[in-house]
Amino acid sequence: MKMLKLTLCHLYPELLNLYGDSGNVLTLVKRCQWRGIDVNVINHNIGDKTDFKDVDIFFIGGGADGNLGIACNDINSIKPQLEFAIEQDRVLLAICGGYQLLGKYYKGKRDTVDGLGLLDFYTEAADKYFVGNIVVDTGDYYLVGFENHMGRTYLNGLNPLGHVISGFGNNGKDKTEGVRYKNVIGTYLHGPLLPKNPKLCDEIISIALKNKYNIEDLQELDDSLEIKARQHTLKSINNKFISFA
Amino acid sequence: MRRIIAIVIAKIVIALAKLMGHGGSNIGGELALRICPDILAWFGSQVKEKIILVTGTNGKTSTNNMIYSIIRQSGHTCVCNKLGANLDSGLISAFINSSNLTGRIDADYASLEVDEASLAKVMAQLKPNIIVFTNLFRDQLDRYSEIDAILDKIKASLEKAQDAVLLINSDEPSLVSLGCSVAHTKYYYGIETQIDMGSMDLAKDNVFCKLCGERLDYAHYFYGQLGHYTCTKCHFNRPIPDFKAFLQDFEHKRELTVIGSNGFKVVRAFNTNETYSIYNTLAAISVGGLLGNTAEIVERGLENYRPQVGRMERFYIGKPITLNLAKNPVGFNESMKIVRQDMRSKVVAIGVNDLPQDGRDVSWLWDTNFEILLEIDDTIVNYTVFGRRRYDMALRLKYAGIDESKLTISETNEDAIDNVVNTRSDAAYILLNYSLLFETQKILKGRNEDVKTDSVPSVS
Ligand SMILES: [Zn+2]
Repeated sequence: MKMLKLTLCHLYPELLNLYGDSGNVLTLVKRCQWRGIDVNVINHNIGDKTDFKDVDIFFIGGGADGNLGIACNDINSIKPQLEFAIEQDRVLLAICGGYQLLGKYYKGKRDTVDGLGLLDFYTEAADKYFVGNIVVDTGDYYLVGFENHMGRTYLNGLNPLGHVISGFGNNGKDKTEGVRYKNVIGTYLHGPLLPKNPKLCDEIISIALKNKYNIEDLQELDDSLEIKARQHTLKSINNKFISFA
Repeated sequence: MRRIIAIVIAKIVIALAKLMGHGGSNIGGELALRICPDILAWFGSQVKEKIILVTGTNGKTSTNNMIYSIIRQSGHTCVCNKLGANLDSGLISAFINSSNLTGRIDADYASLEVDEASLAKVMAQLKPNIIVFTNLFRDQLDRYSEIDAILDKIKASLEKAQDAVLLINSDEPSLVSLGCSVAHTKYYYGIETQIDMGSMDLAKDNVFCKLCGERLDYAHYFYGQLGHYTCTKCHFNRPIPDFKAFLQDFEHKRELTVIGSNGFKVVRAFNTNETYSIYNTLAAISVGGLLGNTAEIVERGLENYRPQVGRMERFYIGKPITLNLAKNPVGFNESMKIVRQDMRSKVVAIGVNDLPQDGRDVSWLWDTNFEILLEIDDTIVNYTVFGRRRYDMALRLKYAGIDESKLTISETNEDAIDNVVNTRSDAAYILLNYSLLFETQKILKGRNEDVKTDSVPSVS
């Protein structure tokens, strides 16, 4: 049998690296490797001439405001490639600042920064940080994570990634969390997101395998430690949540 | 009257807290602050000579305690928050501990470490003569958000203290950019010798020029973002240090020579595995020089310095056990580099809490290079994780690639220490963050079989 191989592109790891987001890349890589799937990780930094043609999964994390501005200038130059990839059903996982960057604009305290405008949502900064554990219902499973953000995101009718069971989510008002368009997943959940959410991680890997090899089934892994970690966090929020693990 | 009530109540509370084993507590100071909000200003006004503040992410406690030793050696009295309680309430507790019941203190100096995010609050009350900056690494994200935001805050608080002299690490670009943006009198300290601190491969925090956004060009890295850097686009540069450190390696030791102006020259020897404490020592020596001490007083002061609780503190319970506080990625990386040098069979225990003083957001665990331990995985018989975020830590180790069968998740601190002691090995290391330190240290001390403990200073 031919060795399966996926390509993951980490966008601006040098700039957008503030909240342990490289842990998401590590988790994707490990959960592929444990199944014998080879992963080629491409780091795309400012000014790089990267060939995105074979990228199966794009990842973009959060970072300091100043660094987001720097990244934003560069990312506009690769917008057509990203748009094309999205329409090809490629996966794009965007966390926190990276998530905000996908929208139309980020209205900060000092000035407004244009986003990529890949999706029709917008974000406004508030005074208070939303900080704490968060639980989200995607419909298929529950996501467990940690949020830590000042931005309030409004989806303009786009589909959210899920609904907030406990925590704040996009804006603390409408109970939505994140965004989902085709295989674009934007979210405020970090902690990082994927180690404690193996179902989402495996969904991403499955989509990529389906796109590239038309393979449907994914080998099961022993997730008992992940489940215990989820139970531990869920229990610390509310004893009733433990069944969501 | 209010002041006296505040002090008496606080003294009682501090005594009670000590009895109950809550070392390093802020409670007494917090109460005093509530009863008498300007109490810190009043204490500060009684300091006869100079007030020195030490701030930054890592190395505050060690640096501050070394400065204290030097000042004591010079024959002066000094108020110091030795245990590292560094919020305004902690500073107040330090003054209360040195005061009589009417709040009178007899202090020539105050040397105080201050949480970098509390600097503004503290400087609204205290007028520092010297502010020592160690470094700015990413730290507790929920409180400090970002380094840029902290820099802005520090800058704003400096405006209230135009007379303060700033002592800045020249090898730390974000602090140097801060120095460039204010008109204060500044002195720089830095390491001139381009030695390998074993971190060439580790995460650098912010390597972009704060002035123009260009990637900084490094001729040499020490660790974190510390090094010899220059911006190729604008004129931002590493300043020439006023206190220059030179390092020379011998077989079992590393010798630090610090040269200031007017023939000030201090020499100090280190064990080779103490590299990370060089910056702390260098900063303290520089303060000693700025205060006009002779090299001899500075050297003798440093000899009398004893590291605080949990700074590479050694115990013996059936085997040598080393306890080290680490609070953020750079602190953990530096700690693990020490563990990496030990080839004995060992247990490595890692404790992570997420209380407010630790930072509630523990995603930094994934920016920490736990893969360092994997390099010596064959010498590690067991990984013990404990603390409120033990499962996050367990997952981090799993994804670093350790074998889950070597992993023990301990529900309590006692269980963790039992496991460390009972697992057969020649040595053990316990690395933990702040709110776990005092309770764990107390248990270890209670079980210690060797009264003669031997410690070396730490990065934290
Ligand atoms: Zn520059």
